[in-house]
Amino acid sequence: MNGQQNVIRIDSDICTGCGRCKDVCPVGAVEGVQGTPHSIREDVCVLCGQCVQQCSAFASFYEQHPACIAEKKRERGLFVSEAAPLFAAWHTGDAPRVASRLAEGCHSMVQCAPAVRAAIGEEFGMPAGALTPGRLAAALRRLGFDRVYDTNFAADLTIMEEGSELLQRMEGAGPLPMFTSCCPAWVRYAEQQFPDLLEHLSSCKSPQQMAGAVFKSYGAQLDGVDPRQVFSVAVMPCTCKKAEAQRPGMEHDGVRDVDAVLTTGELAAMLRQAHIDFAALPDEPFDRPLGSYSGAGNIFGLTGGVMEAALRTAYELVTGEPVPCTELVYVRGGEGIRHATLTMDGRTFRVAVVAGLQHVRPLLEAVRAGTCDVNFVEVMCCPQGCISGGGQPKVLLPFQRDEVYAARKAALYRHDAELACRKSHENPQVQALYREFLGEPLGHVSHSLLHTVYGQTR
Amino acid sequence: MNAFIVADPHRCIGCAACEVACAAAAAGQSVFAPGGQSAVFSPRLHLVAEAAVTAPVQCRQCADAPCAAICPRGAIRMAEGVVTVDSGLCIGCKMCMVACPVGAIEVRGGRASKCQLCTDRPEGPACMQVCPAEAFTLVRAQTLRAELVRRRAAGLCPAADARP
Ligand code: SF4
Ligand code: SF4
Ligand code: SF4
Ligand code: SF4
Repeated sequence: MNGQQNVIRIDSDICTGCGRCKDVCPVGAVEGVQGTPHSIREDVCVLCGQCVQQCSAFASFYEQHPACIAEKKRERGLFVSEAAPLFAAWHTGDAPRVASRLAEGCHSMVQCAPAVRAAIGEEFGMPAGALTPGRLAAALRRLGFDRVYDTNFAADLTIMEEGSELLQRMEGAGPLPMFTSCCPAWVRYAEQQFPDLLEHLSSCKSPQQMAGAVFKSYGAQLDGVDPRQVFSVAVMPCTCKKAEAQRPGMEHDGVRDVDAVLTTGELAAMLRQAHIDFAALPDEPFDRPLGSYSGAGNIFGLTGGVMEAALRTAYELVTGEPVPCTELVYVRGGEGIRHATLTMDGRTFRVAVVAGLQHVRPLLEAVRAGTCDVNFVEVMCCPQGCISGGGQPKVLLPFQRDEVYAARKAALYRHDAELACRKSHENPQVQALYREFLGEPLGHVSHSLLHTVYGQTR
Repeated sequence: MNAFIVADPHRCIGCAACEVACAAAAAGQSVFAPGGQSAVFSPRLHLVAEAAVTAPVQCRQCADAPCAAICPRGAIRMAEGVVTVDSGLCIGCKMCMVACPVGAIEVRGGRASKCQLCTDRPEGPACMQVCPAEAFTLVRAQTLRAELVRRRAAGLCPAADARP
């Protein structure tokens, strides 16, 4: 697990030992006595960054020497010019490294997760829920990325692969329920705490990794470059995605799928550093083909989204008819765990959506005991899915958190509703990718590029 | 309205005697006494210095104190017109530091610390007592009213109907 550790840390010089990170940690990884600096148990921590979101203790200029603050910024992988305060709980940063790689000149391809476009505006004074896909594409282009692509494309691709895998399992080709594998904090938890149930995880790589794999194969082919020369960057709402990119198995022919992961906050810092006025940018489209997406791909950013996207496609694959209503509100929202059923071709299909890792254990115990009659489970570690991820702009005042998360969520649903194409299998560029490159879902090429084996942590 | 202390930047000579006196009062120990220099130096007001001006800044004892409103533990309360921290309840989370508009509250040793007008000190506020330039004023509701009457009488305050 080289390089995967220590993405999330607590600075004992700054931590006041208030213990509030302990209250939000979904897996009980924070230890410490109130009033003394806390610490994180690395063997339990799933790197979700919820503690980073919660922590309000920051380095005061009254207590810290400015030189020491500059040193801490370097250690954290921040630009020294960054004006934001340094909080006790923090995640490692990659923005200066990405900026220097871009300055060196390389063939760069960037992808951007759905939740980022619903939150990055907050870093530039826009209200919560400001939806900025066009400005985001323009901003990435201004930073000098050669290809500005989108994780949403790979989310659509995930639905094709994961949906086909689910149907195959329903025909008896694998154990049920099948669990989603797009949240790396959840995957980490399953690997650490329930290794005996790993065959229940979908073998799909997450959209981030699928996108990276497609960049360095199909994408490189389209641009006529050697995959080894492609610098693949992901912009994510998530801190655990940094570790995911470094997992064993997330490579192809010795080429890493993703070379660097930036959080939403780090991208904002890069834009400030480059003096790009985000709010004043024009709307520009993402590049094609790997930046085109459906509404279904876009709602991956919130809890219930993967499930809703999967059902829109699965219903059609099973019944041969489009789903009667695109908006499957019964899998939406909800804290904790939500169960739902859907009838397809006379068969009852049972699903569950888990938001917040602390709610998954009873379900896993039931699977272990053989008493779980669910077919498909979506698990997201963060309380409202990725819109509330550890790498999103920080909402410092706890009473504002629900309001801000609700606004970000509404923004992603609004985006879905506004798009003409709202089902993953109808994304014409995804269809073209299968026609020209992958063949068919779960085929030989997709198997080697888009699937992996979970459980290789130690 | 609560009473609060404010300093006049035109008078302040930037000597920082107020910080030292405050720290000593907070520690209950004189820094000039033998061994006093090892006392924890934790003043509850801060001398802010810019090229053109110096001024000590401390808690304004806001009537609707934002620090009290944000505190997740209810550790900050109004006690007889003074915004007061209950150290026993405080968990040192620093939310109050974020909320305070004048930067007058800090977390030291895991507990919030702020000016509480030296209510436990018979001589009154230590900063006022030591300031050689007499820059501090203890503002009370009566002081403000009296000042308003004075300014009106001197024609310094336009009548309400004369404002644009
Ligand atoms: S990163 Fe997540 S799992 Fe790790 S200590 Fe923080 S809240 Fe807990
Ligand atoms: S890391 Fe932050 S939230 Fe956690 S105990 Fe320390 S100060 Fe409190
Ligand atoms: S829910 Fe999203 S942001 Fe949170 S850990 Fe999972 S992938 Fe990351
Ligand atoms: S540091 Fe103490 S007083 Fe300040 S908000 Fe937190 S608990 Fe309340």
